[in-house]
Amino acid sequence: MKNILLLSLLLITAQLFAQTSTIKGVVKDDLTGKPVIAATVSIPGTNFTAATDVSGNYVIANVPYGKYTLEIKDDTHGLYTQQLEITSPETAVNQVAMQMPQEELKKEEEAERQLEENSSTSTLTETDLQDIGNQSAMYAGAQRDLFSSTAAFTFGRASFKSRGYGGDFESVYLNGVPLNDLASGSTPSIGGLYSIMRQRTGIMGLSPSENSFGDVGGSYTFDNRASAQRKGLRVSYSVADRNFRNRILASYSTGILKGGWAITASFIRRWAQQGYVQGTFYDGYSYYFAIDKKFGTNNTLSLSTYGNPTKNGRAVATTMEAYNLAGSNYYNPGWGYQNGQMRNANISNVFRPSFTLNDEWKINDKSKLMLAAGFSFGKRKSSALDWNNAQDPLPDYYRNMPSYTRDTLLKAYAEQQFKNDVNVRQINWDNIYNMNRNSYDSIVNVDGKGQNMRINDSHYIIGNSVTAQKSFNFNTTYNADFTTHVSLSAGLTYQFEQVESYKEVADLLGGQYYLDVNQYAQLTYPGNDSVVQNNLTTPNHLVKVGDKYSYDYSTTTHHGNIWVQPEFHYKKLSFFFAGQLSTTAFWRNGLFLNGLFPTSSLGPSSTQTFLDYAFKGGLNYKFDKRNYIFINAGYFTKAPSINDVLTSPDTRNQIVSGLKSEQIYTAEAGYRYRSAMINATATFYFTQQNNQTQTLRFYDDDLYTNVNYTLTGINTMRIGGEGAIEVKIYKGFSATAVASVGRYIYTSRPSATITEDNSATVVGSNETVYWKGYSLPNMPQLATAFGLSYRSPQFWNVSANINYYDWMWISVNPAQRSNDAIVNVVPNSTTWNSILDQKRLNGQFVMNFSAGYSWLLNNDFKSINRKHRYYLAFNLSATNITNNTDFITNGREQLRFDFRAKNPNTYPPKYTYMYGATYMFTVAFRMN
Amino acid sequence: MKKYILNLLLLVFLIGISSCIKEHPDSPPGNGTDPAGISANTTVNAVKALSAPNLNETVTITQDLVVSVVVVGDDQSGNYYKQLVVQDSTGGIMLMLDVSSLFSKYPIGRRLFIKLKGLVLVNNYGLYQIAGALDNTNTPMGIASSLIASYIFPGKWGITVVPKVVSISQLHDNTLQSELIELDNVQVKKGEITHPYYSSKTGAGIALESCSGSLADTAVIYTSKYANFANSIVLPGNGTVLAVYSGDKNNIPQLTLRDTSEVTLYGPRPCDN
Repeated sequence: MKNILLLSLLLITAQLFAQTSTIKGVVKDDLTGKPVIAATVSIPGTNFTAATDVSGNYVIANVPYGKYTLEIKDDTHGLYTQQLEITSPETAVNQVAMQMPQEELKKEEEAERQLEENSSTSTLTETDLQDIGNQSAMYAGAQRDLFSSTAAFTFGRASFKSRGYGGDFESVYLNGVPLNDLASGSTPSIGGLYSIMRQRTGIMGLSPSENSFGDVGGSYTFDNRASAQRKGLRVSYSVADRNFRNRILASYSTGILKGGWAITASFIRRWAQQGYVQGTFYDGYSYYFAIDKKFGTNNTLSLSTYGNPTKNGRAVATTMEAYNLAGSNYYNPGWGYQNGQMRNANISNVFRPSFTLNDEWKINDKSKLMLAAGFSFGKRKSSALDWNNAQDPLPDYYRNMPSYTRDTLLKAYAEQQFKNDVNVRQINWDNIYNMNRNSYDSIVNVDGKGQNMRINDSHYIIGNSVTAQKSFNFNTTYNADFTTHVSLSAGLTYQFEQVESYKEVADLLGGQYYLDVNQYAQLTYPGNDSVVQNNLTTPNHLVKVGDKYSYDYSTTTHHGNIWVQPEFHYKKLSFFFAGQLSTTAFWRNGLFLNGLFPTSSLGPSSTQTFLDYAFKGGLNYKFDKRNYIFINAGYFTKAPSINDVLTSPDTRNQIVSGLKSEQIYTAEAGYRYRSAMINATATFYFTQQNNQTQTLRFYDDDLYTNVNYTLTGINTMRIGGEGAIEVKIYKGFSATAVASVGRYIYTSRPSATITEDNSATVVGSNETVYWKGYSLPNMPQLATAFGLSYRSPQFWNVSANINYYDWMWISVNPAQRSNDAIVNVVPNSTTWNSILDQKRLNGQFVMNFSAGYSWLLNNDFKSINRKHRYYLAFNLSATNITNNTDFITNGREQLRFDFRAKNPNTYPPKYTYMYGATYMFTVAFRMN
Repeated sequence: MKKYILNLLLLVFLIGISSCIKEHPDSPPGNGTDPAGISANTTVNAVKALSAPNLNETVTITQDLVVSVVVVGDDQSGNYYKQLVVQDSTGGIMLMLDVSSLFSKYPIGRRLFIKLKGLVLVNNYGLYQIAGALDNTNTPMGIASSLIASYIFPGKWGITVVPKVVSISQLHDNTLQSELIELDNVQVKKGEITHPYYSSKTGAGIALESCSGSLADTAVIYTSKYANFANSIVLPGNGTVLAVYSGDKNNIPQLTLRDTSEVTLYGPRPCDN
């Protein structure tokens, strides 16, 4: 009664006296608890409107008493309404916790799902990634548009590379620290940590980034600082039949705590007793720990440490003959039985702990400065069988294969042996141990100490190729908005990297010592005893497990750059320019005094220095809300990396003479269309890369030595188009089509210099390699995907896609495209063609399927603490569901050529196949 | 409509690109190329005359001399081993290389530029040879495999060397040594027409007589037991023989066959008594 009276009184007074009130409130994100900035708060049908400030607060004054509907709108959260009755001069509106709308939530879910999937569906091990330079696929997903996510997650399995670029065309930053490896120029794999790297910005191609100048292929920035992490807990378990069989992941972030602290911690373990391929195993850990402290409102200091200690047994590529005889395209010659146990000779063991320290200083509302420093160190060890004065024990060595036998009866017998006897088909460890145990040699002047010994020395050992790396990186970026139209980004980077490379005895396989000499040098210089010494300071060195042998040297690289990038934004048009100046210096430092090169092996080489510059610029034009185009172009010069310019790093300081930087010309143009129904992009690109230097190394067992093939003047061209279209067909159904079509070719005839590790002379110099117009190898230059997906409003989804890949070629052996390879061969004869043709791989179809369900437990369990959201998510990803086992994703001609018989099949190419049907199932629990 | 045009354009673009894909878009020139920046500054005869070592002596060449020669004898048939016979317009000489299967890189008909400085000129019982170095007993050794590329610069191949048509009587003088020669109207001596090129019993060669000059003019074909035609029986008729003249020994010219296909003794024997 009283209420009614009051109400009617109010209504009357409101009308009569128009009493007014001031409404105050705050808008926060329901999930993150962070303020929603610049949301529009209004009362429909009136002129009352306000915007939230940086703290999410808003104020609307002079609102007459009455009943209203308050509308709160924001681009990402959508619309939120609240009923309101104003009865007093000050109305404090309850805190509005805006939820991301279903659509956005689903996008988030999808991104999460893809992360879950990719972090484990990648069929590539870290080593594979190194081999094929496909890291870009790992990073490309940082950009969440349809093309790049398809390129990363779907095409990535087929060793697709966006625009044919390798990792050396991308720059990657974690917490502001550059990650690129200076010695090789490539980007490192962050391994299992990928699945927790949530805050990512990817800039594809030449478009401007505010974090770095970028590179030809783009730049990727991971902001994994504790305060940038979404508050919450995530725990998941996955089961799969890929490189690893099990994965557990736990990750917790506190969000920003009182006092400005934030902490995030993650742990991942991945393991498999045996992976998809026989003889492989996986044993990997990943950790990430970060802590932030905000000082005042302007400074955030962040510290993080991470690492991926990983040990895995690798699969090695082999020949078609071996695959066929073994009856499987996943035959792995790298293991064998030892006392009935499987043992893999090729084991990678990597651990590089890293640390980052970062300070972000918001100078004012318009500008900020970021300072970052990173330090990392650690070792990568790759083991393999090594032998001295003995037969090659590998089952797929060409002389051990049936095809090496001419006699048909013996050949048939050898084939039967290979098929039926596992000790012929795989490494015969017991045999190796027996040979080593029974091997005795007299060694004179052991270790140069004048003593003669008769000892049990192994002729076969397991040796680790070790690279021990130390790197220090410093980076700063400055961003400022001068006016609403003009902004500026600028930065300064200094990087230092030192890598020591050596061989280390990992296992003597039954013997007691291994004699560290280069016996084959004696064949070249008979009567000279010192040439056989790998290290003259300890001649006739007997090494044991853990000792260094064969070679030992380090490379040091310094790199610094400074860049500046003004950007101009107008209503329809925005454009930018950017320039970078950089300097690089590197040298080799020999740690062994090599007997063949006593004057050029020990101590530092000459220092090579390079001054490089890069320019880029572009514009972006919006026709209307739906259509826009962009055009960018750039010119880069790039210093070569030291690994490519040392003609024989294992033995001496020699560096390719007359070194110059590469030059790269590149341009791209794109079109983007966006509507409620259709989302489409199309981009065309062209990149010409000139004057590259590359050194290829291989072991030639006719010459008993490593042969180094240094190519200078390599030019390549990449041209093509890429596009994606997504059509929302009906309710939750949508269809996608993605395609990348390019031509990536060599456009010059490089010049080759050939050196042997066991001789001091240059075997060949300025030999022309005739491969102009040949295709860049081992990536589909044509890749397409058609997909259908359905998303239910009930938080489940299914999707399937079919992919077609084509225009794939294997890598070519430059020696096979030289004058010497076709001496006296009749032009255009069968032999001529068999020598010169670049083998093209067959086009392949692959189908994938995935399904997911995300269960918001709060909906079904009312007793749950409502402060948090609890999810249980299930994901199934099935790849290559038609079990296509004929898809060759990598093929390489061996770098040896049979010049005598002019037969390219004496040393046949080696291949790697994409895995057949595999699955991964993940259960994840999340609390936000 | 626009979209269809775009699609169509894309399709044309695709077909356009795919049609220009060849299996080997590039190839080395069919006859090779001569190395850049190197040219001959002397001749084979000048080199032979240069130091003119006495019988069974050696001389290390110290001058910056380069000859341009063409291979006229290689090891493909096995009749030579780790040796090449090369000649220019002035004369021929034998190259000793410590590598087998030389024919794969240095076949008959390939031009070679040889930088002679540091190599050894050998007079081996009157046969001039170029060797790599002397070992510690002063015996000449072939050029080491890893050093070959520093001395020998191969060029074009497929060069035809026209054999000099000579009579046996013209051979006694050594100016034609290590050159490719053609003997016409010759035949194997009657008593030897059932012999193989290489006889393990006698080790002797096959005597070749001339039908055009004095019947006393004979030359001997010597064949290595490793030659792939060592056990083939000689041809019984009269005709032409292409061979490398290997020098004169005890007043009898010696010949080395490159291959039996260059022995065309099919005609009737006109000068048998």
